[in-house]
Amino acid sequence: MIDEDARNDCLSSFRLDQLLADELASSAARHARDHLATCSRCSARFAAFDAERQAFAAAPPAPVPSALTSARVTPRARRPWAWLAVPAALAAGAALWIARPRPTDELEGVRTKGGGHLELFVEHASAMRAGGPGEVVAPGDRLQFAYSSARAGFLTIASVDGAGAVSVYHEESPVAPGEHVTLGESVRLDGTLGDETIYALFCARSIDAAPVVARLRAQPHASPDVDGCEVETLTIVKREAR
Amino acid sequence: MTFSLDRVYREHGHVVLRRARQLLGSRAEAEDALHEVFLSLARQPQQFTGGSITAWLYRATTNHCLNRLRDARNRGRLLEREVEPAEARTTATAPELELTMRALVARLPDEVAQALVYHHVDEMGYDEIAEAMRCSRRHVGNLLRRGRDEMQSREAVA
Repeated sequence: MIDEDARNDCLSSFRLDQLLADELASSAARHARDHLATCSRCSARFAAFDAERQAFAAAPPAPVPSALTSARVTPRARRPWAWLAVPAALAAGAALWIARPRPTDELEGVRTKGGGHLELFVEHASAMRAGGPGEVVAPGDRLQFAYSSARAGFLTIASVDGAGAVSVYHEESPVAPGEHVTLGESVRLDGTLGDETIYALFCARSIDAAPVVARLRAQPHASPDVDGCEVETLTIVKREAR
Repeated sequence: MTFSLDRVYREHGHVVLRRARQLLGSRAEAEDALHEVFLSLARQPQQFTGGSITAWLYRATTNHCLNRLRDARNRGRLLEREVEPAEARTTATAPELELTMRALVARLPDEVAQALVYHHVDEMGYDEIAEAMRCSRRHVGNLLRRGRDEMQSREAVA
């Protein structure tokens, strides 16, 4: 059902929307328009999206929420990666982390409804780096977690390693609203290789972790749904260090 | 540079509405999602850090809809819902694929679900998804393979 990247020639909905919004660089926009000139399917989609846009702008399907009429968005200035390696502080057990700003074109990780977001940092060979989906790690690396959350609640972090073993990396603790809040403990990775999935449960109320662990053992690849919790998933890949 | 949010809503709200309708399967649910996404931005404008507002709206909509599909209180209602009639659709995604996707992403890990949505709903190629998810093309392949396996096992059960 999934073709091997068979759609490279056509424009994704995302690119079409960016073209409509005039967000593409000139070369990318020119490439997109060249394609539209020769592809009836994409040009039809583009026309449909444009019609949708115009109809929405002329008559939004519901009144503009009153909260929006006075609100303004001021993008923060982009900064280079700002996380700093502080091996000495780590060695002393201190929790000093400066999180990197998230790239603006990243399509993952932002939570709506005030939910939380998990941040991962990896210490390897005394050097630290910010981690993300698909992060390649090695046995012996140390993982440090931080979170950003718009509201108070409870956070539990569990993991399923390449052999299907379930671990609780962070026992439930209350979380306060804040950005880039570092958790006190870190995790030293064992020698089990393969894909490891980390589940962060941001919950409105305190939960019992035992059923979550049991569910993960029974279904290691299924997100452990818990009523009242938002679950963020992050997969890392553990390989032997070169 | 500062943008008024009601202007962003008028100029870009159609993107959220279309994607939410595809993911949730109903205009009413999509309009709820539309309001939730923009109210979230009004409450926390610092979420948008610059660059492409379209990219921000894509990921916010995806996450909102995946959370909604996973919420046990919504799941039954959303998964039983039929797809919209053809005349209400502006996308070429097959209706049966949308239904399958909706059922699947409700129970898949975040990363796999997101990759499937970007690939099947948004028609992104591997490179675009890799760029969007900040991971390797190979990892995208692994995520989509896991999604395909889930789809095949589901078909086998059915």
